[in-house]
Amino acid sequence: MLRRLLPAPRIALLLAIGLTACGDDPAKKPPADAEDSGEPSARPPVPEVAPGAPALRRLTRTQYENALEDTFLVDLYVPTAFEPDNEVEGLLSVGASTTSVSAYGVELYEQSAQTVADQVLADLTARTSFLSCTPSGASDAACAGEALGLAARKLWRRPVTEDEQARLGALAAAVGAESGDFDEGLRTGLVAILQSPHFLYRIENGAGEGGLRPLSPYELASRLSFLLWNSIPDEALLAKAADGSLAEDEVLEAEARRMLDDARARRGLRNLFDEVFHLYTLPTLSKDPLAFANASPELGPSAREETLLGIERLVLDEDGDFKDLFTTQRAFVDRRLAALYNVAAATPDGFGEVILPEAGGRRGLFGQASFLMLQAHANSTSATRRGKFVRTTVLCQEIPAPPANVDTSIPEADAESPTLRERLETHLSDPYCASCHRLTDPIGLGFENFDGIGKWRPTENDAVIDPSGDLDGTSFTNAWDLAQVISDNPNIEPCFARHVYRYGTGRLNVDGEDELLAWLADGFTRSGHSFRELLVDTVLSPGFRNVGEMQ
Amino acid sequence: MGRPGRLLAPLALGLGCAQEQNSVKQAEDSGEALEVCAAGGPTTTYVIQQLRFARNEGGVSWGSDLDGEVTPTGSTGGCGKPDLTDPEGRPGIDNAFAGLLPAIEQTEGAAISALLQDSIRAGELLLTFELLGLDDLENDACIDVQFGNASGSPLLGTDGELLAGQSYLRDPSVAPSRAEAVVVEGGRLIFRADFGIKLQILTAELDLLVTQGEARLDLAPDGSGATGHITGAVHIQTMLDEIDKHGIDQGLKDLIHTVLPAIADLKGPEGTCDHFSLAFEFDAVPAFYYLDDGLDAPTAD
Repeated sequence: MLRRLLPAPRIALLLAIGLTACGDDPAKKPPADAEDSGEPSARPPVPEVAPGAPALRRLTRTQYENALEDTFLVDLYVPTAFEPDNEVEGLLSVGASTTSVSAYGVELYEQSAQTVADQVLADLTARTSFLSCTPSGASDAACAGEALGLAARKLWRRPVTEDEQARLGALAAAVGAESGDFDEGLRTGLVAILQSPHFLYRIENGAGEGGLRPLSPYELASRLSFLLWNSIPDEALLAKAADGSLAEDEVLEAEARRMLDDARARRGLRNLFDEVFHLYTLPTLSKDPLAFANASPELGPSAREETLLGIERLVLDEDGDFKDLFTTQRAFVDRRLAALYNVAAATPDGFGEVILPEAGGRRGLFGQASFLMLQAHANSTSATRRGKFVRTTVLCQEIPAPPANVDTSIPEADAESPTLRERLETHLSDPYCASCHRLTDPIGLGFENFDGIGKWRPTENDAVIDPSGDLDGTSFTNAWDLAQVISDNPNIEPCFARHVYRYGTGRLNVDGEDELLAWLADGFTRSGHSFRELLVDTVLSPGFRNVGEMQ
Repeated sequence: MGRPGRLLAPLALGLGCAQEQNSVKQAEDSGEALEVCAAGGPTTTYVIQQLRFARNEGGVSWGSDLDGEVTPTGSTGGCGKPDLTDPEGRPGIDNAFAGLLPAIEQTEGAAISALLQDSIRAGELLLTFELLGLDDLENDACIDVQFGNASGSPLLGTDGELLAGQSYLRDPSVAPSRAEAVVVEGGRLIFRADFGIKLQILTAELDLLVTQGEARLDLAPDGSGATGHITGAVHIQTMLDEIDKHGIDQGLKDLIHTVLPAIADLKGPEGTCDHFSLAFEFDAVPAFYYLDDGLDAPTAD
């Protein structure tokens, strides 16, 4: 039984919040031409948009590493633990515009810069990626400036001014002269570049006046490359920024499509879904080994890889219907996941494609260990977490957090309440709890045939599990059915359009972007749920290419 | 002197090269009738997760009646060795090796059961039953059963046992045996064949041939596993020859040469009492073979 610790007014407020939990329901903002006339209507023009204010985003840890790799062409070891990336509404990319750096954080960046610079100068490939001149001596400012200018252009994602290049060269020359070692000067210059806010922050100020101010070509190039590659622009993209052509629709679209065909798009897509589905937490997820015989330190990383491989294949290799993600019987499993799923592995090494049998009751994202492990407790399932994930992450509905002083524990299993369904009755029958739990638990109970790490179980405490339920009036009999019910939910399209938009712009959407988001969702539907097209559409949208008024 | 377990495990398991006269029934030998049984249904595979010697508990032991004779104490039939009764009351159970187990455990081979289990966990004793064409875990009038050896380093669960549902590689060095069977009595399956078992204990790699064999599996109706036993005959001289090859301590070798012929309870093809019977109990869990391991899976074709 839950303890009631809330004073009456707070309870009333909670109830009110719960009853309006779907107030931000993206499906309630359909495109203007959503009425079904039998024939597909022409796509409406792009609506006007009043985008949010520009944000200053700090590079995430992953972006920092990717930028180094793409600049110096080798995989560099970054040993320093930076101050943690921040998550806002589930996205690190949005949180990146709300983080600050403490004095200690600055020290961490300095340590990292020094370690990276040492590695760069010690590696021939890395060294020659930016150093093409032969220094005339330890204090050759021209050669050092040229090399450091080239590195800075890549890392800062914009041209380096003559003054900046001269200052970098002078810095290196001074240190070189003092130490008698050209490399020591170069190293100091690299450390300076890597500690510069021009590297560590993504500056997207825009230009002009008013509420719709275009990003500069280099700002746009950077925003584009971080969306699609989660890294810095390449030379081709910088060239389009340099000649100003990137602002043209055709050029921008061509660049986006080129980049989606590039191998780096896999990295970008992975990061996007790493954030949206919180997969990046899987490698450190801990499960009770006494509760789950299949638990192992390798299971979390395997589960993450399975989900990302499936998305990669669906989106980049096949450009398929994104909704298949929720209902596909195809899975990419290694032998550990295959054992968890009780299917034959395709290969002893690595991951291989298998078809999940219908008799196994498992399909799609919601049958994957990534979802089933993450949205569970360390030693048990959690219908509430699983249901909340569906509501908030997949359907973009809002579920209020439980008040801080409410006991959220559920009763122990006993003869009267052997399965979670009976034990959660408290949540669903108590009005203090039901306002939120009625939104989450009936969905989560649909996945109860999967234990806390995703292994199939027909019973719990020797009682047969009843996975039936309904989602907003649509009934389902089990997880297999539920996957289809979720996939058919009209919130899917606007929800993922919103995820991409927020991820790409690095901020939460504002009211002035509602129509644009609905337009993007409509385009997503019209494209047959092509996620590639959603990305291209987002890139071409005025909300992506502009920023609002500076605040 | 070698380690006791290392010496007695080969002894107990009846080391030996395959005898030509009792060669393992090859899968390819399966006839037309087998193809009919295997066709049309899915394949369900189990791997033995726990294997132990069946014990003689006051004249009661799991096992099978291999020679079709019930030999009471004092009888001269059945090579003069009395048969046992199984826990379900069936007489005529052949398991002469069970009589030797206490002596082994009290002398040199107390760790023999642990060694068997270690071998399983290390992937050196992976025995599988593939039930081909199995439509119903509780009642199927015609299936094919293939007994085989798997290889590779298995995944272990947090309980230290083979993880259920995992995939294995086929071991091409040991021929599988295959025969027709039925599932009756709500999940009981009897399978008669010779069993080739590849066993690696510590550094010794051994090929054990259990002839005239019979395996019984009791399938859990929910597909979660099977329990059962394997009973068969081991040719004594073949095993003694194998033991001699392994450079065993002479004292123990002498002991083995003395006791093994003394437990001979089964006749070979030439009618002489030159085999002894032994029985294993096992617990098995669901398993698979990799979809693509470069080897042909058993099919009805």
